[in-house]
Amino acid sequence: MTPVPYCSIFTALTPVLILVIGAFVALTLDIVRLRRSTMTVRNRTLGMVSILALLGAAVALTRQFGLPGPVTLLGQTLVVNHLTSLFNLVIVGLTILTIVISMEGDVGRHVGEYYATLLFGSIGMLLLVSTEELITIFVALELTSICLYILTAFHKGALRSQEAAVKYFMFGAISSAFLLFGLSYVYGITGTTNIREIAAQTTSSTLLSVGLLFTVVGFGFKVAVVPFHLWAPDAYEGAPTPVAAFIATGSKVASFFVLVKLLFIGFAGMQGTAFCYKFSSGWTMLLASTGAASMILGNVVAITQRNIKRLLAYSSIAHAGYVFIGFVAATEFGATSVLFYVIVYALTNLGAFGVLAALANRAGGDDMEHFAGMARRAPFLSVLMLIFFLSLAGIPPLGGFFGKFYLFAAAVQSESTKFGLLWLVILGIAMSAVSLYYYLIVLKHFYIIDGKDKSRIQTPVYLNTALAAVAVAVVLLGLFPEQVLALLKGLVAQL
Amino acid sequence: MVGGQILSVMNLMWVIAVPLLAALATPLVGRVLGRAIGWWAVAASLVAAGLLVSLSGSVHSGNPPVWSVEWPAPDWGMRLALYADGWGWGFGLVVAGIGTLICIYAQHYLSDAEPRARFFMYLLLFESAMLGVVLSANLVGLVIFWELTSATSFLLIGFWHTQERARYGAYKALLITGLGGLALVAGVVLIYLAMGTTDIRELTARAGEVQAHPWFVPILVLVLLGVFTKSAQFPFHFWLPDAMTAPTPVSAFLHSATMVKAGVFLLGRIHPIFRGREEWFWIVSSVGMATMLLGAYGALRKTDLKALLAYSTISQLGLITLLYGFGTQLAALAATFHIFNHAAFKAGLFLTVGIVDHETGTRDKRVLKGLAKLMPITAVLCGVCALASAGVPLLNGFLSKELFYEEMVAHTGRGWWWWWWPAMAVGGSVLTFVYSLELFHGVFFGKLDPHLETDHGQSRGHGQPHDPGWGMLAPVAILAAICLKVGIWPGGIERYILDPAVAAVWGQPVDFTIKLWHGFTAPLILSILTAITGLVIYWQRHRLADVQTRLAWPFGANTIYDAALKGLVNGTGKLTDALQNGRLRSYLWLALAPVVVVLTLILGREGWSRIWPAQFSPLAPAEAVLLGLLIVATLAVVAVNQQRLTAVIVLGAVGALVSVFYLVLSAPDLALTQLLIEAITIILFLLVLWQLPKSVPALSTRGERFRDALLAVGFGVVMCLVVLAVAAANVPKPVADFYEAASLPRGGGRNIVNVILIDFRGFDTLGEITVLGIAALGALALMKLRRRKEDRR
Repeated sequence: MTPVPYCSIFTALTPVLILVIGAFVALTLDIVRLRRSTMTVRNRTLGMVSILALLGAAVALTRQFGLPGPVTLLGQTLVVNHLTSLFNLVIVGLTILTIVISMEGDVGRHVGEYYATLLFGSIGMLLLVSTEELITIFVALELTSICLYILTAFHKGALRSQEAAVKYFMFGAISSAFLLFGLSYVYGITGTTNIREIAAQTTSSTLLSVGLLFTVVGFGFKVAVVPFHLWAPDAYEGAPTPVAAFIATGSKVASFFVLVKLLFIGFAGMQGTAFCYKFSSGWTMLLASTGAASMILGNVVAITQRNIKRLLAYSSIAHAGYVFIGFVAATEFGATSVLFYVIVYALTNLGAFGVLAALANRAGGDDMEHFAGMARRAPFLSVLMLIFFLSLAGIPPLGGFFGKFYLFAAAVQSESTKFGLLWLVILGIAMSAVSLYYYLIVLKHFYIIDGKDKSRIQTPVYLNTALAAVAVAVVLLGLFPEQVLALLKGLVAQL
Repeated sequence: MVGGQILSVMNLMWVIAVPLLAALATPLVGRVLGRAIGWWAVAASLVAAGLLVSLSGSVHSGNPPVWSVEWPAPDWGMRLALYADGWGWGFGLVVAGIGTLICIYAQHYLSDAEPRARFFMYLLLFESAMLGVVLSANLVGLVIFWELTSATSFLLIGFWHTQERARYGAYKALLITGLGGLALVAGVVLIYLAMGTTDIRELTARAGEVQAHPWFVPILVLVLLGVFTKSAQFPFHFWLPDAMTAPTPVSAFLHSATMVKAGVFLLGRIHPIFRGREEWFWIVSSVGMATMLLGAYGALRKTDLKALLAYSTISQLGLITLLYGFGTQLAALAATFHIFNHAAFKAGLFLTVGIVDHETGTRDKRVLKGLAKLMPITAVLCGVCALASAGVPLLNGFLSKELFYEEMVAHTGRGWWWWWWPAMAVGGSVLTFVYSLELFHGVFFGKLDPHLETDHGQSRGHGQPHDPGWGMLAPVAILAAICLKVGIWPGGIERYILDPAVAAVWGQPVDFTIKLWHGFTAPLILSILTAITGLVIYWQRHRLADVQTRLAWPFGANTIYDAALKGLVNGTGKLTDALQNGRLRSYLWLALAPVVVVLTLILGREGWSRIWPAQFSPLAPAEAVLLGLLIVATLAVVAVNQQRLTAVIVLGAVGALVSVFYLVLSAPDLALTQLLIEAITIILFLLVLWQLPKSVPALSTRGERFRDALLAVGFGVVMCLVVLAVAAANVPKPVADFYEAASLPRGGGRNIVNVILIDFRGFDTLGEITVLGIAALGALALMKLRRRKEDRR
């Protein structure tokens, strides 16, 4: 074991440390100085404090790109390389946007707790991305999840929010049980909690299969794929919109990232096959079946939804299904396409939730009817919504199109003699066609149907700017996908 | 020369970029120009057209300019590449040319209340996308621009809508063309997988290879689905009439020269790649034939002039499709020629109907009569375009119709049943003749409705209907002039646009001349027959209407669309109610049952012998009693769960029994921890439950409870087997060995349990203590809260 220089350790840990300090500052400031201030002042001030902390973390993260090589602490408990730094940056960015959305909305009376919990949750995600050790994975995942359960319940007055939180928590607890049980089996068989050492020792055995199954089930709950998805629609609808956005984006990015590490590195030897002519047991088979079910059920059920948050929940279930196609490819390019997709997906969804959050209060709710004629009431945000929804539907040349394209290409390429995975690709394309239907229904409300209320909706400039930046990112990902893909490819190769 | 070449190549890029940039600048320019913003759009379209004209030299020399960048994903055959062969160039010229005219017209058509800048912005965006479709050098680029035309047309159509009917139409248009677009995407993906390229020129060069490929039929079907939905071909024709609710300039542009023509444009594009195969002929020609007849028949049933035009467009597109299906040189010539002719006269007709609507406030053909008296110039212009559509000599429609007949007759040598084609062709043309006359003679001649003459109320014009200003007449006049010019003297257009276009569609240069007079040939006889029959039917048209009413078919494609949509929504609604009913119980079932199944499969594959441990450690009587008590206590929890407090206490008993079990297995520390946790949990439970009703209402039926019990038992059994499997497996390194070996050298203690607790798992112990402490604090807080409440009372 080569000694790690102290300055590298410091560089590796600073982002997390800054966020911890930021969270406590927010808590303390709220109790000590802001007790008598109005809600708006508290909300804005503490939001700004959190954003400052996150910006500090972002600066610290960019410093990590200057490190001479990957830094490994405490036997893979913390691994910092360029890929993890990049994804940490993505998560920090998503958290900043979540906070920007929150500053405009109603987060209840406990403002300090709200922002502190949000920051703690993001710390969990950062750790989740930068670990290669089973126990830390579990702890980081729990840190994130528990923060999200609490945040879901933050609309204290609303029964829906409480119900959502309880359901989310119940499911989360079951999933943690599965995950812990699975990980303990993996440890029991391989004698190590280090992902890379697991890969070295993988010998196929029943118990390891059980461990793998339970791990996948645990993550299946976290990323909400069929049949472990049932909490998502209720949680998304009941949770405050910024929190729903955070659940749908930040936690998904981190979960998918760590799942890539677990499956592509740790369980590299147990992939099995999911070809149309040959199914053999392994994680590709598990992911292919749950992914296919998610694509079908998520898209079909989304059609009938009237509440846009609920609709986005089902759409995110379907998107998790698409992502699994990249996993099933089980190649390095498959992993790259998953990471590309996750970034595009998170940005697009956060943008869509952001527009919802910005408009819902003034529109009177987040059912589709509330957004009728929005194109005339809030033309700018409506254009952004158009971009986000078309990207979700995978319309070229937006980011969502290339995201799907790379996933499908990876699946086709991984077995290109008999195109064994073409069935998943065809299902994916067909289900994208279905998804077009419900995405368009939302846009129809924004653009075609006239609403009763015709008054203009004014939204703060900082919010518009932040959401416009997300839209620009989605467009740029569609305009220069190859560059981003090449970057990710290079980083994944070093993993 | 090389410099000139580069310049012309850049011009190609600017053809698309100019309307795009102009569109993006429109909101800003609109602030300066105000009402006159339409002229900005006119200028942009003109520049695009001019740039295309500047390319004519290289197009005619058979050396099409190509412009490409390695973007956005060249590794995947996705690069933005444009080229102007005769087909794309000629089509682009039509798009930009008619676009210019539409902009002039719209500038005068729109009322001041309508948001002009946004309208022209969308129009230019759409034009740019359409030019992208026709100039794309590879299929991926074409598909992307194709989808962009759908999206921008959605903006254009959707902008005005206030009526439910119109919204329904816009949505349907986008849904049908969008679905077709996805089929096209799938087709292009298959082409790429099969051929390794999406470059149109390369595919044309390797046409034989494409046709011989085993995936030819799926590719063909998918691509044709895209074509047929976009060009409103049977059975997807039903979206077009409902999309006609857009303002007239939009309909004129989208449904004469651009949007729907994108489908037949693509048909011409892939013509050299696919033609010649039997499947191509049968699918394309039959669909085209059905569409042509249905469209023409449908046009006669409509009383709204715009709906009539919509059906006539469907019918004409069917004719073009039918011709491309034949895959012969003459058919390619006829189809290509007719596309250009149709664009001219149909745009003219749309614009005339727009004028009539603008002046009289209605488009109902039963009301509109004898307008020639009030608007003579409009009547003349409409006459030219309508007669061109009917196929009257000296007008452009006649020439392409003659070619059409010639092609149909040419195949009759293959057997008597091939007369079916010319027969149907005449049938379609007769109906076309009739509705064209209705448009012209019906609207402008006959007795003028006095109501129309005086009614100013609903008219959007001012006062009595009259010919509009030059701004609305000039575009129609130019189109009518083109119809006349081509019809009388087809020499110019033939050399300039048609020559390179036909060469591109056919795949190699074609030698032809279009003449007005062919001599007394079969086509001429058929034309005369068409005209006579048409006149007779027009004269007796009220009888035709009776027949049509009697034949009215209640079950159309629209009914299927509506029913399918409704069924989809209802079905998914039911599915949602079944799955997402809000109850955790049924959620658990859905989530856990699959896990049980997969676990059973994994264990079953392994076989009983490897799950069941070879030997069990002997069971002492005390242990057996303890286990029995544990099982009874656990069952009791289930039994008494309706009574909350009792259930909690029994649960505490279960915990206590477990800790006793630990004690028996000589783990006193664990037993102690467990006992402490049990105690605190019960206190917490009781404190919280105090606030709740004493008993749980029965929420589930007997059947549901049975179902849940089944899952519980199943899951329990499978998990039990999983645990047993551990005992059966040979775990490579039992962790106990490590502690045994390391406790003295590393921990310095002989009591292994102590060393583990204090040394190896020191942090763990600290964590446990912390958890206990926090739980105790929580309990304390709850108790204090209760006491304070009681004090207040």
